[in-house]
Amino acid sequence: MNVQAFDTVTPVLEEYGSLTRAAMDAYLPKWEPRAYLYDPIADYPARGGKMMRPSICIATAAAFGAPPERAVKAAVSIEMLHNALLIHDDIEDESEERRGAATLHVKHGTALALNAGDALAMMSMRPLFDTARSIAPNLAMGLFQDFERMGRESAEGQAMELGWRADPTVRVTRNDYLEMVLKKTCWLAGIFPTRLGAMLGLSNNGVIAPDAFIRFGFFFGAAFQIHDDVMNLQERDAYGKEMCGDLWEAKRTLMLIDLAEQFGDADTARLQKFLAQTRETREETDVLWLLDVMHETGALDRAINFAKALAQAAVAEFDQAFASVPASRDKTFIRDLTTWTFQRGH
Amino acid sequence: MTQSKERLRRADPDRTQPYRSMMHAFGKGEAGGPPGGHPLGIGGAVSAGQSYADRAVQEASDLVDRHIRTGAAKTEQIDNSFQGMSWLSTLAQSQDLAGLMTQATKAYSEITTMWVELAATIRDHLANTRAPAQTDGAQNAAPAGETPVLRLRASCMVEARVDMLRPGTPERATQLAPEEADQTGSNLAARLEDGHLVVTVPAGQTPGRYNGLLLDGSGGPVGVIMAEVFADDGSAA
Amino acid sequence: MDKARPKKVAIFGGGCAGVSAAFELTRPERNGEFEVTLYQMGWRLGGKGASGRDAATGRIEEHGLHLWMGFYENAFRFMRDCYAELDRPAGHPLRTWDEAFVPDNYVGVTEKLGDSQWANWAAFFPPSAGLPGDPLSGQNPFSVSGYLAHCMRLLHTLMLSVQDRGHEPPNIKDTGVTQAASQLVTSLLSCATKDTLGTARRAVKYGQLAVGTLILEAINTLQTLLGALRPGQNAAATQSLLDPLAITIRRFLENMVITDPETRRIWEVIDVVLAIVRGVLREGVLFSPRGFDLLDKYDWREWLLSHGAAQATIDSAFIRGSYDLLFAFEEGDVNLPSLAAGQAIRGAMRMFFTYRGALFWKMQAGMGDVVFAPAYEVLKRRGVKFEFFHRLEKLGLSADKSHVETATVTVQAEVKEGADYDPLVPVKGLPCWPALPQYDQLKYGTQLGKKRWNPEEPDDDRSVSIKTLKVTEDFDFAMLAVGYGAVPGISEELIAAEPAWQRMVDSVQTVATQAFQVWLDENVDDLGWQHPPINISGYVEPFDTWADMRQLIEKEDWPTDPKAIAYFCSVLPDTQCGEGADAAVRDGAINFLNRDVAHFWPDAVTNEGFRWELLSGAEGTGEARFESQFWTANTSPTERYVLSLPGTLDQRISPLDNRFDNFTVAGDWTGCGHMAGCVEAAVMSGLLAASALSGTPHLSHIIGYDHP
Repeated sequence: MNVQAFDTVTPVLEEYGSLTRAAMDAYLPKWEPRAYLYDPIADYPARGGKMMRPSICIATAAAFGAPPERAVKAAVSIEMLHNALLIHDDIEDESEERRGAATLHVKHGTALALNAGDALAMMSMRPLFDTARSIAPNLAMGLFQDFERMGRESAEGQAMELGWRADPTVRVTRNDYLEMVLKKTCWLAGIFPTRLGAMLGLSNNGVIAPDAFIRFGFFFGAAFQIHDDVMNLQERDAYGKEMCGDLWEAKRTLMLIDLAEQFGDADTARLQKFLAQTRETREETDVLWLLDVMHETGALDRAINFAKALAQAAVAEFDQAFASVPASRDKTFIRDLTTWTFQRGH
Repeated sequence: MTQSKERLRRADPDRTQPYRSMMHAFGKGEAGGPPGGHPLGIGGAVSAGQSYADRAVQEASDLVDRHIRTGAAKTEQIDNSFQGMSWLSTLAQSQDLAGLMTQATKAYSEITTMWVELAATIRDHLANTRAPAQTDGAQNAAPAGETPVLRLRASCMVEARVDMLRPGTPERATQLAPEEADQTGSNLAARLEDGHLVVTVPAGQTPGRYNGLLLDGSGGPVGVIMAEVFADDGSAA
Repeated sequence: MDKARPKKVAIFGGGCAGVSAAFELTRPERNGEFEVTLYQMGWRLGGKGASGRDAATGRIEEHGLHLWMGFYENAFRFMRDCYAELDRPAGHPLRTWDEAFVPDNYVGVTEKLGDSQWANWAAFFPPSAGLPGDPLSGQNPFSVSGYLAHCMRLLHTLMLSVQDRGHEPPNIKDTGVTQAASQLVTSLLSCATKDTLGTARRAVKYGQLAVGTLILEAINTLQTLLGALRPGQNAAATQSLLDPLAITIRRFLENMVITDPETRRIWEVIDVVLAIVRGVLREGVLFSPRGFDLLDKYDWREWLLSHGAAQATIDSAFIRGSYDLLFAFEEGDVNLPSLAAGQAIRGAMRMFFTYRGALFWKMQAGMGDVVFAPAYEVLKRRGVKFEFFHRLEKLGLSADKSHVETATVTVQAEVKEGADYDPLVPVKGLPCWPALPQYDQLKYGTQLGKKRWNPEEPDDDRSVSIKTLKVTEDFDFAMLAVGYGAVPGISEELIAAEPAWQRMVDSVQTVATQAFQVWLDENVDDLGWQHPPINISGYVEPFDTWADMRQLIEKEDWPTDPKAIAYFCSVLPDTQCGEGADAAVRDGAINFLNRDVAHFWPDAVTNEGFRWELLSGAEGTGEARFESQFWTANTSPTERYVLSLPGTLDQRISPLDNRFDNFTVAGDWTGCGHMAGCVEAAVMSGLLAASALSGTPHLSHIIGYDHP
C-alpha cells in the first residue's frame, strides 16, 4: 500500500470537478421534454465520477498560464461528450450498471437512451462554441479540428472493439489492442483534454505543435485502461455474473490476448468456443478457468507490470510535453495523476 | 621420491589488441551487441517481466509514432507532410536567439547523425555491389552517376526527370508506378536502350505522378525516375 | 593429481587492477582453480586509490579526488558483484553498492572571461537509462547509433543548460528525424530489390524535402569516398557536404554569439563536434581497422585545430577541463598540455555518450572504505592470501628468457607471532583502512609507532628480510600490477630481454599529482557558492579542480561535525618533486586559499586573505591553522599518474601479451583498451589479465575493450 505524504491529485480533482459541474449545469436544459430527454441526459453527469478529463483540461490550461475560468467551458464540453459516449457504450456493450445504478437504456429503453446520447453529444458543442468566441479565430479552428479528430478516433476505436466481438475468430495482438485503446480511450481521456487546455494557454499564446501531447496522452490513457481492465478482474466483493464482467463479456483485454498467444491447441479450442458464445450462454467454469490461468501463467502480473511501465513512460513524456512551463500545482497534478491510479487502486 | 612440479604456461591468446574498426562497431547494432550478464554467470540477470515491459513499451511507442504520422496526414490539419522535419520551417520564423541556437544545433546534429548512419548502411549495401577499382583519373570525375538521356513517348503532356542517387551504371529500369497507392492509373513502361531511357505514356493515361527506379547490374538502385502526367486540359490530377 | 592442484598466482600490487584481477580469478564458479596471493607494499590496498582514516577524527585522507564516471561499466560491475557477495547485514552504514555510490548530475568548468575574471559554468546532465554495470540487453549504449542518440541529447543538454542557467533541462529524446532518415536509407538501399516501386515512391517523396537533398548528396559523397577507399585521398569531395554546412552554420552562429558569452560556450562545443566529425572523415577513421587509435599520434588540441576548430575553442574551458581531468601535462608543467587525440575522443565518447544513471558517481566514504575494504573482505573470505608489507623489488627471468622465474620481495615489517595482519578498523561501524599502519600488530610496533613509520614513503628503506619467490614453488603465474612508476625498476630483466618492453619504458611517462583537503566550519553556500554541490575543473593552477565532498561529513567521526569538506587537486610539476615537495604543496594550498578560492567562495576571503578561522579542528591563528588540514604530494613512483601522451599509447604492453609465458601485467598503464589513467582502465586491465591466465572473461565481455 502506497501512502502519499502529500496528495497532489485529489484536491485538484475536487476543485476543478466542482467548477466543471457548476458550469455544466447551465448547459443542461431544464425545459420540456424533461422526462424523455433532459432528465435522462442529466442523469449520468449527476451520478458523479472522478471528473478526470475536465480537470486535466483545466489544469493544463492553468499550467500554461491561463486562469481556470478560461478553460472551464472546454472542460464542460469534454465531460458532456464523455457522458454521451458512455450512454452509447452502455447500449453497445449491453451493460446493466453504471456508477452504481442502472444504465440509461435499462431505465428508459434503448430508443430513448440513444436519443439522449445523440442529443448530449451534439449539445457538447455548445460550450466549445462559447469557448471559441473568446479566442482568436485561428485558435478556434484548432479546437474544432481537434474535436472532430477526437470524435473520429473514439468512434474508430469503439468500432475496432465491436468488430472483434462480432468476429470472435479474429486474432488480436497486443499492438491491435493498444491501437484500439489509443483511439477509444486515450484521445478522449488524455490527448484531447491536454491539447485543448494547452490551446487555451496564455504562456504559449495557445500555439501547440501538431503532435503535441499525443505521446503523453497515449501512455497515460493506455496505462489507465490496462489498470482498469486488471481491476475488473480483481473485484473480490462481487460474485457470479457480476464478478469479472470483462471475462463474461469476453472482452479482448491485454490479459486475454496474452493467454491466447500462450495456449496450446486444446486450450485454444476451448477459448474459441467461449468467445463464440453469447454472454448468456457462457459458463462460470470457463470464466473461472480463464481467471485461474491468467494468474498461473503470469498474464495478470505481466499486464500490471506493463501498465506500470506505460505509466513511467507517460511520466517521461510528461516531462517533455510540459518542459516549457514552470513548476506549478497544476503541472504537478497532471504528472502525479499518471501514477495516482496505481497508488490508490482507483 | 619427490615429485617435481610441472611449470605451467599461459595459453596463447587469440589476440592481444582490441577490435577498433568502426565497422565492427556498426556490425554489432542494437541486437547483436555485447552479451549481457557475466561470462561466469554472475550479476546482471534481468527479470523476464522487466524486459517484457521494456520491449512492449518500445512497441507501444512505435505504435503511437505511427499514429501521429498517419493521423496527421488524415486530418490535413498539418501542412508539413512530415512531422519530424517541422523544425525546418520554424527555423526561418523563430525570433529568439536561444531558440535559433537550439534549432541550428539540432539541425546540425541531426544531419551529422544521418551522415554516419548512412555510412554504415551504404557500406553494408555496397559490400557486394562495389564497382571495379577505379583508375586515378576517375577520382576527378563528378561524384554523381552517369545520367541516361530521357526520351518520352507520349500523346499528352508529361514532365519527367531522372535523379541519380549514386554513381553506377544503370542497366535496367523498373516500371513507373503511381505515386499514391490508391491512384488508379496503370504502370508506365520504361526501358533502357543504348544509354537512353525510354518512358512510354499511352493515350488516356490517368493523370498523376509516377515513379520508378534505375537499377544497376546487381539490382541496387542508382537513380529515381519521376514522371508527371497531365490531363488533356493541362491540369494536374 | 597434478592437474587437480590449484594454479598459484602471485599478484604484485593491490590497486584497482590487482584487486579486480584477484576478484575474477577467485570467483566461486571457478571452483578454486586459482590460488591467489596478493603482495602489497605497506599496510593497505588501493594504490593511488588508497585512502586512510585519521585516528582522532575519523576524517578521510585521500591521494586526490576520485570520481567514478557513469561509463565505468566494468568497474561498477566489479563493485556490484562484490557488494552482492559481501551481503552486509541490515543497518550496515554502507550495505549495498548503491548506498556506496551516489549519482551526481552536475559537472562544471571554470572559464576565463578576461584577464582576471572567471565564470563558473554548471551543467546538468540528465539521468540516463539504466545503471552502470547493468547487463547490456536491449538498449545497448555502445552501438554507434546509441552514441549518436546520446550525442544529440548532449547538445540539447548543453543548450538548455545555458538557457536555463543550470536548471534541470527536460529529458530530451531522440526525435523522429534520425529514425526517419535511416528508414529512408534502409528502404532505398536494402529493400530496394524487393519493393522497387514503393522505394521509388518514398525516394521521391523524401527527395522533395530539403533534407532529402542533403541525404542524396551525402550518399553521393560517401559513394565517392567508398569508391576510392584510400585514406587521405579525395578529401575535397568528401567534404562537399560537410564543409558548406559547417561554414553556413558557423557564419550563422558567429554573427550572433559574440554578443553573448553564454551562447559562445555552446558554440565551442559545437565547434569541437564539427572538428571531430570532419577530422574523423578526413583521416579515414571510419574505415580504418585501427579506429581512433589512428589519431593517437596527434595531440588532442592540435588535432582539433588542424581540422578547423577555432583557437578560442581550443583555449576554452571545455577543452582545458579535459586536460585537467587526466592531469594531461607533460612533466606536470601546465604549459605543456599533451593528450593523445584518439584516446581523448574515445574517452569523451564513453564519458558523455555511454554513461548510465549519471555522468558522475560520488563515493559516500573514502575510496579505500568504499572499494578496497569490501573487496578485501570478499577476497579474504574466498581464501585469497594477503601479504602486506611486501614490496616487490625485481622480477627475474629464466636463463632462456622465456618466463619469470623469480620475484624478489622486501619484507618491510613482520606481524607479531606470525599472525595475519588484520588491516581494517571500524569507523562508525564501517570497516576502514587507517591512515597509518596498525603498529600494535607489528613486531617492534611501539618503536615504529613512535616515529610514525610510513612504509609507503619512497625513501623508506626498512627491510626485515628479502624473500625470493620462485616459479612452481611460490607461484605458477605472476602478475605485475604495481603503479607504472615502479615498473621500469622492477622489470630491468624483462626490458633487457624484450625490445617491446624497452620501447614501452622509453615512451610511457607519468606525472606527480598534488591534492589538499579542507574541513570548514561554515558551509560553502554561506560562503557565497551559488550552485549545487559540484565537481569543477579548469580553474587556475596550482589547484585546477575542486570537488564539494559534503556527503562525507556523516561518515567521518569528528567531536563536532564540520559543515563543509572540499577537495582540491592538480598536477605537481616535476620541478617541485624533490625534497621540498610536501612543503611546496602546503604553501601552494595556502596561497590558493588566500588568493584564488574567493572565486568559488567570495565570503571565505577578506582583504587580509583567507579566513583561517573557518578551518575545522585547527589550532592557533592565521596560516598556521592550515597545518591541521590534509595535503599530499604524490611523488613516489607508484603514486605517479600515467599520462596518455601522443605517440606512446601503442607502445604499452597488453595484459594479453604472452612474451613471458607465465606472466601478465595489469594497471591503467597497460594496453588495456582504454588508455587513460582511471579506475575503469585499471579494472579493464585486471579483467584482461585474468582472461590472459584463464581464458575468461571472454574479451567481448569486457565492456568497451573492442571500442573503435
